Amino acid sequence: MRTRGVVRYALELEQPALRRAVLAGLLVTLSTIGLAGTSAWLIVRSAQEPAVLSLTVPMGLVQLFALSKAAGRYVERTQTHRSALGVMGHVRASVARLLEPLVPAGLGPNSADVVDVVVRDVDRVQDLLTAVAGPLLTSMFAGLVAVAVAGVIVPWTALTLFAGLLLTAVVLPLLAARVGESSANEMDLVRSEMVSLFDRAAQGGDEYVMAGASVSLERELATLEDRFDKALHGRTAMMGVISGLTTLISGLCVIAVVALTAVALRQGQVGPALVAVPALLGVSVLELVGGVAPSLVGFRGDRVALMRLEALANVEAPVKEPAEPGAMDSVAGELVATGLTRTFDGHRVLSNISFDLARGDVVMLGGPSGGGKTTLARLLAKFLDPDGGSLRIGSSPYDDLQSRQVRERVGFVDDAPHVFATSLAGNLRIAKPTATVEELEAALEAAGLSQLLATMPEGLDTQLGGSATGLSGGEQRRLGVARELLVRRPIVIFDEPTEGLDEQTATKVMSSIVERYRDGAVLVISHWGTDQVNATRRVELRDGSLGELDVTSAR
Amino acid sequence: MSRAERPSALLGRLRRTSPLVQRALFAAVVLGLVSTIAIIGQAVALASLLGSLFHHPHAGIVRDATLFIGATALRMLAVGLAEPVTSRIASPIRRELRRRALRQVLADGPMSSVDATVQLCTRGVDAIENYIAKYVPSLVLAAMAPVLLLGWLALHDLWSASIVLVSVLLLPVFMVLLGLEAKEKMEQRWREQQELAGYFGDVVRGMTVLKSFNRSSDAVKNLDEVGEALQRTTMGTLRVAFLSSFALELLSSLATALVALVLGLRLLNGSLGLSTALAVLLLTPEVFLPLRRSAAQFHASADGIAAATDLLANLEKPHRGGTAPAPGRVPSLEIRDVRLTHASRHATQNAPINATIPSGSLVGVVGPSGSGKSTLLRVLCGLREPLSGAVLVDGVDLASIDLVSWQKRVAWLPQDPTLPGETVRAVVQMGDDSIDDQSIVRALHQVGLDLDLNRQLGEASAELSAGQRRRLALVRCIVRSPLVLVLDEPTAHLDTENAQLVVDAISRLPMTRIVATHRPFLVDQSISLAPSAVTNAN
Repeated sequence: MRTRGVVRYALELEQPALRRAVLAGLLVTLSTIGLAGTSAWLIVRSAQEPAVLSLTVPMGLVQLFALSKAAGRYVERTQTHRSALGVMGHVRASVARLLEPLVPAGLGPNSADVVDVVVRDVDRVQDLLTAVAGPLLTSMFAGLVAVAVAGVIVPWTALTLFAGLLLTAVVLPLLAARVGESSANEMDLVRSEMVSLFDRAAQGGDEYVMAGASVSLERELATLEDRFDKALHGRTAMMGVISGLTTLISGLCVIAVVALTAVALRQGQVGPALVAVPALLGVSVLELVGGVAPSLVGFRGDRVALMRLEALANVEAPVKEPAEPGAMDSVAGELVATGLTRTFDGHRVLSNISFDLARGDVVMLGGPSGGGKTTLARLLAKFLDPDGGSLRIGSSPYDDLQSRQVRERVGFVDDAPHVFATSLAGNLRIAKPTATVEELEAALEAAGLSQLLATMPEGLDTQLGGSATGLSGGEQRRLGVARELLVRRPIVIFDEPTEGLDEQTATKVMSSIVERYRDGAVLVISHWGTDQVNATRRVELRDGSLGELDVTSAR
Repeated sequence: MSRAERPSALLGRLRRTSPLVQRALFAAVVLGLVSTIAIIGQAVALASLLGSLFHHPHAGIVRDATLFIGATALRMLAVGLAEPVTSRIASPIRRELRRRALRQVLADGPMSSVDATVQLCTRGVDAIENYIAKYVPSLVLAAMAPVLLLGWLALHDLWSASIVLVSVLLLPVFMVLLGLEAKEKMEQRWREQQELAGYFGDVVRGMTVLKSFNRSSDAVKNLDEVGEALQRTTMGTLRVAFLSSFALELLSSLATALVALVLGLRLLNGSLGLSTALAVLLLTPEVFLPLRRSAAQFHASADGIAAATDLLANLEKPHRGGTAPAPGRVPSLEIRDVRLTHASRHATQNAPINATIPSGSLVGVVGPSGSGKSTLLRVLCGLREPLSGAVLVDGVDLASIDLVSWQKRVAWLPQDPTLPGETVRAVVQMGDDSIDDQSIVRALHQVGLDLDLNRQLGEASAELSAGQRRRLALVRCIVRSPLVLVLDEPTAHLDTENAQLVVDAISRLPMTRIVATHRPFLVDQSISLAPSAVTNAN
């Protein structure tokens, strides 16, 4: 799978349905030009006033093409959607499988953004397959058949039609895909900046209003809209030019076909009964492909999306997994880190960190943003391997353990745990599918969320995530804490569990957490050296180095 | 998403939003009709050319060729101008909607959850633009272009016109017969597809959480299974869902075939000319084309309809606030029988709050977490309305005062300030260039902050400690020299020494000050909130 690429692999899996879809598509396009060709022949032949019986064949053919066109369209639509659904199912599963080992540490500093891009890319690939690849393929084939038929009747018209098809179905679409690229990129860029603007307005709107700064946001929006309009108008102008050109080329092509037919007629190379056939074939086949080119303006982005997905296969996994699970002590021992070093893109994030977490420890880890706190946490939970130094839990070195083994002992709640689009209970049961209602309620209470539960319209069954019920950043974090409390692993790392709470409540939540881990070890990452709880130790990460702090001078 | 309403009613509301909607629609329809006329011209000229070839009279060939090229040029213009012109007219509609959405969000907060609001204001507004500039014109054209074409057919060949008319009229009958179920199935298919996409997004975005609990391989396997199950069940749905497209295709191709047969028979008995017959044949499929185009855009339009319904419902809310002038000097405040709702949910407070705050005094608001301190402060700022009761400013009800000018005179330190801006100066000014460096430096000094005005702070001032952020937000309030200062936990995250500095600074300020706090504060009086009992103790 890795070498073949996710999309090709998915296409291969769906081959039977795809083949049916393409065959039906061919039937539709062939019937379309068949209908045009035979009805033209029928009518001109009728004008010669022959015996009615001699018209039976063209009359029958016209009816047949009409029926096969409709039937073919039906099969084509159902099979295309069926195969597209299948392909997208496989692509999604493959992409998820590719992402699994990479998340969260293998995708660079903005992991969440990369994942967002991936989700959007998958949707774009779907468009590429259903809206463009199929129609273009079948109409090209039908075009070639039309060219051949016209060529049999009047040889030179084949060349004209072929040129027309080449221009409208190949050259113009390629041109269209290329010319709109920069404006399509600019529109994408502006869209994401607009998202961040409205995000700020929705979250901190009151702050802007009270500081008299709403005008500056409106100005910012206007600037973005100006950029968007410029790109959009550039793009629609391109689309206008391309669809105008398509119309013009089709028209010129048809008139040229008529002229060539006239010459052939005068030279006696073609009978009068067939005089309308090449022209009407031309009209219908050029109509078939005419709509594709304008919709392709700026389409190269979608190919880039496809390539970006395929490139996921080549990203190096942040963790090396041993083939076999390693031996582990039956009781969790202490976690010991020795001389840890980690570098990203030549920038040393952690240097020579030695550190241990034993039963009963409550360690506060402070330090400025970018000081390496999150990287250290990821190393401890084996989401990431160190460049140098070693880690062990009890007597088992991390190098011998699979990451899932480490995570049976070490829990890590990051600072923005995902809220799934399911009920509050479902969100908690991610951690422990068998948890009872009492366990869920106890975990929420200990994480300081009982008030939230009390105000939820449907209690534990309230739907969360997506656009349903939004949680604040702090509630989201404490939902993560509640999940962790359900499984209560021996060693646990919390990233900013109480941010967004007032000090009184924060202290309460922190002590209830610490209370529950009396038999284990807790590491709390905190932006400021918090004094909410009686820590056994306080350490600070600054510029990649660890410093022990005197408890009284925290801050 | 709320329930979608009828397109005509929706369009009416959109038209009231902006006169440009009508103009965009008009331009798109006119260009569409011009292009239809050009198509008729092309067909007539082409048919006439082919007829001349058949009959050998060469007269008129040049005229017909010229007509064909002329019609082609006209069609090229109409087709080429359609997108650029409608998009240029519709852009200001999008901008206006988005600007009003921003104002609405700023004035009343997120419309639902933050994510949904952001989606609605960005992609939703784009969908509305598409709806206005693309779908509605295509719908109008689907009604008008066939009429034009049928009119031409009727003038030249009543027989064919009748055949086409009957098939066009049969279309809705067919649609109703199989349409109701098909429509439902179509929507079901659409929903299922969206759900699979949503589930995928959920799994990959939540991958870290799933991995953390060793559940990720289950989820990925499940994704495979959900996809396959969906494909199996959907095939049945698809068979019904596409029956309507089958009906459209069948009627249009059968009509074309039938027209061809009738034309052939009438040519045989000499009751029709060849050129007319060919023109009719060329134009028959064109009658069905606009119908097919608007059907193809049905789903793209559904997004636009949903977004427009949601957004308009929010934009049409009446604006809060009155017209009375805000006070020009430091005011006194009175809180009279005010009840609050919890900041984001439905819990209501039991006892009403009463307090009198003299001009220039310093008042503390105390109470346990969740008792409504922050909400009360927002009410004083005019950011929220109380559930009942009133706030009086120098004896005038705040609800009757012009909110914008009131908010200019009040400064507010929120519990969790976001501090947008790149440098210390930018964070404090927050877009107000009239605040000079000297007053910023003075205010920084007052709260014990020693920061260079040009210091780069990173995104949302993440470079600063929480205590520094808090004091910087306080500086942002002080430099605006408000008449009323409303502070939510100004000493949170501060050590004792710095907290005292901040307390002293606040005590020395001349304006009316209301401070929510957990710390003992030297105040003139304090309002104490509890879920059940509220007292006003001196």
